[in-house]
Amino acid sequence: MPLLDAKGLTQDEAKFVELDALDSVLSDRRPGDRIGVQVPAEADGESLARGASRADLIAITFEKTGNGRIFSLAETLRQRGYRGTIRVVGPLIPDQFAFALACGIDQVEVTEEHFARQPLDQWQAAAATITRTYVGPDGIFAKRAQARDAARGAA
Amino acid sequence: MYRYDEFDEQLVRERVDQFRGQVARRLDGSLSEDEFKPLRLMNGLYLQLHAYMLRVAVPYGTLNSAQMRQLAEIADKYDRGYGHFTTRQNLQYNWLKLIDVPDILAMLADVGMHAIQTSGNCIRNVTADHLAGVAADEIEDPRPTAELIRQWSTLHPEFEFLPRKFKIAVTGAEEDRAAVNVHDIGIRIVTDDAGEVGYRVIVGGGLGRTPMVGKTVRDFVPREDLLDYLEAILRVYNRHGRRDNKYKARIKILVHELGAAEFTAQVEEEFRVMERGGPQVAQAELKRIVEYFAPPAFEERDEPSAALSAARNADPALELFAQHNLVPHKVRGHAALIVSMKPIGKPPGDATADQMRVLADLAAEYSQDELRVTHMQNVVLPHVRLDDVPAIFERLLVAGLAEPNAALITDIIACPGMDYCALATARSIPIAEDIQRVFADPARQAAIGKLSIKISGCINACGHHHVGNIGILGLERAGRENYQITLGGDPGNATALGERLGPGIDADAVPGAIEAIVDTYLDLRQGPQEHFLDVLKRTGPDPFKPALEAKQEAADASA
Repeated sequence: MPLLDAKGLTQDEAKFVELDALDSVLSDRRPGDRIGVQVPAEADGESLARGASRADLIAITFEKTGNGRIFSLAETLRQRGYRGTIRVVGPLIPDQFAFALACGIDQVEVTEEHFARQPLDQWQAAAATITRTYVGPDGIFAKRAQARDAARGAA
Repeated sequence: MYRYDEFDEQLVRERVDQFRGQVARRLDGSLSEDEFKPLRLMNGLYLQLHAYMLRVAVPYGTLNSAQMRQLAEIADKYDRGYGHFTTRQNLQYNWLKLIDVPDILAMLADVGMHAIQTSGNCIRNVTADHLAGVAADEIEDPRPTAELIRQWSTLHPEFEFLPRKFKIAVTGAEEDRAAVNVHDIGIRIVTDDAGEVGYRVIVGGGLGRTPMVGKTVRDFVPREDLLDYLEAILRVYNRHGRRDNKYKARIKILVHELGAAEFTAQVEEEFRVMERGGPQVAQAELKRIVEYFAPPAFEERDEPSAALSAARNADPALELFAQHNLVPHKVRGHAALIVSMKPIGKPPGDATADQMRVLADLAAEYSQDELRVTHMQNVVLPHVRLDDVPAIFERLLVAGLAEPNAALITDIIACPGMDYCALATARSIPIAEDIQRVFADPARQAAIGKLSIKISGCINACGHHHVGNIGILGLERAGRENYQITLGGDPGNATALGERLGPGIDADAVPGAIEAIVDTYLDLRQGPQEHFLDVLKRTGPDPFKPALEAKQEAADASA
């Protein structure tokens, strides 16, 4: 199924294992293997960040476009130190793509049917529509704070 | 008043372009109706019974004259020549075509306005005390804090798809005019023992099907921690709020199901471990925003005003108006003037385009170019000189806007009800109009004194009937409209939810029942200073019940 990241279509083959088997599989891995776990959107981010910290990839599955829990789950994983790839698998729409990327989600997997209706150019256009935000590392809050710090440093 | 800077302007323009694209993608089939719906809602666009409704954000209710004129232009060009002020200090147009909406949003952007997040399951337009910067009982003007929260919550990537809508209100005064106890988050600006200004944070209040009074989760959040603390609350909500049932999805249900203590513990834990960005933001932004809200240059004047006193003596109508529609201002010789959008027998909160232009002219000439929309669906000229009140009154009279009923019994809040709303189970505007006619005599209203009636046309409680001194809830029973009466609601400091007086009654019995309740109050009160709520507390509801029962029997007999 089509897989998208911030740059466009991508490929990322991973072997998914159960969370409790993760450590033993990782110890037997061969070079180049990508080992991931798949969890539902309802998963607990706190324990997942601990239990899956060494996984190369965490794939979060969800059923409904409006299920914004995926954004807080990804943000929680990132804030608790998870550095691997985060993928969401489900009916995300292009208009949510920028939010997903901003919350630390790297990849979106959609169905062929979905991708036929909303092809790549729509994802890229939607992600580029809003260039200004208040929050986040590129947001105006952070930029003004940096400018203020720089001015203070120069003084 | 807050002025959009280049950054805000660019963001609003991009948002208009984005919506234009979304409409086009809906029309070409790229977006399904289910996918498009949350996107249009986030731009304030509802599909109602007869047409699209657009809810325009009026942040903390503040408008300048150019903005009000533009709202009038849009009403003339794209609606039927009027707009409707809402209980969340916004403005709604009820008769729009989808295809026009991107152009309307562009017209709004021309005057620094938008409809971003006025609907949908996201953080809605932040409301504040409509007398902010005017009231004498204020610790601090709440609008800079409200504006900071507005910016922070606009397109916040984590919180655009919450389990349900999310409403935040801020007050900086001793008297709570923003109803902070019945919001998802209510914020009170307070000082600690050391005199530092910070925030009391109240979570989980709300009306709707399951009315609840909010719980204080923290008595004092230091100023620089506010945004991080809000983020912790929203994250706990987004994590655990229910998504299986929209009627149990508001944060009040989560707070109730977890218990306030457990909910608070989870918020504090998230706050402890999360990445903090707030202090830097608060330092850089709040100071900047405060400058935008610097009070206008006032010149102290004589108080009382000789000109106003003479005019009041000469004109009984002005006297009545001045008694009820002027609110004390913290600058000597000034007042906040409430323009009632509740003329007798007209839909509460409606304003014609011509009336909007009159309000804009008056703001420009007499009120430092400023207007405020209140949660009572009225409009305030916040900074008028007492000397100018007679001239303003004359202009309001001509425009049909001089109803002397602010906070009186005909200053009714009513939702759109079955006349517009797809969810409604009964009419509310005609009920409000009928009650107004019963009490139309200004002398009678003045004798009754302050008394609030709030009407909702369905269980979702958009008319806030739970916190009306007298609440009216319209339901449908066996194909007939049926109205339940509640007594004792109070949205202010001593927040209370009204209690049902008895079984529901028919629409045509409502005005008589309300009149009987009011007559009972007048009989029972120990003088005009004893408010309806005080009498109710003293006597309990029993003396009021016969009024309702008599009306019920009459209605049954006629059925």
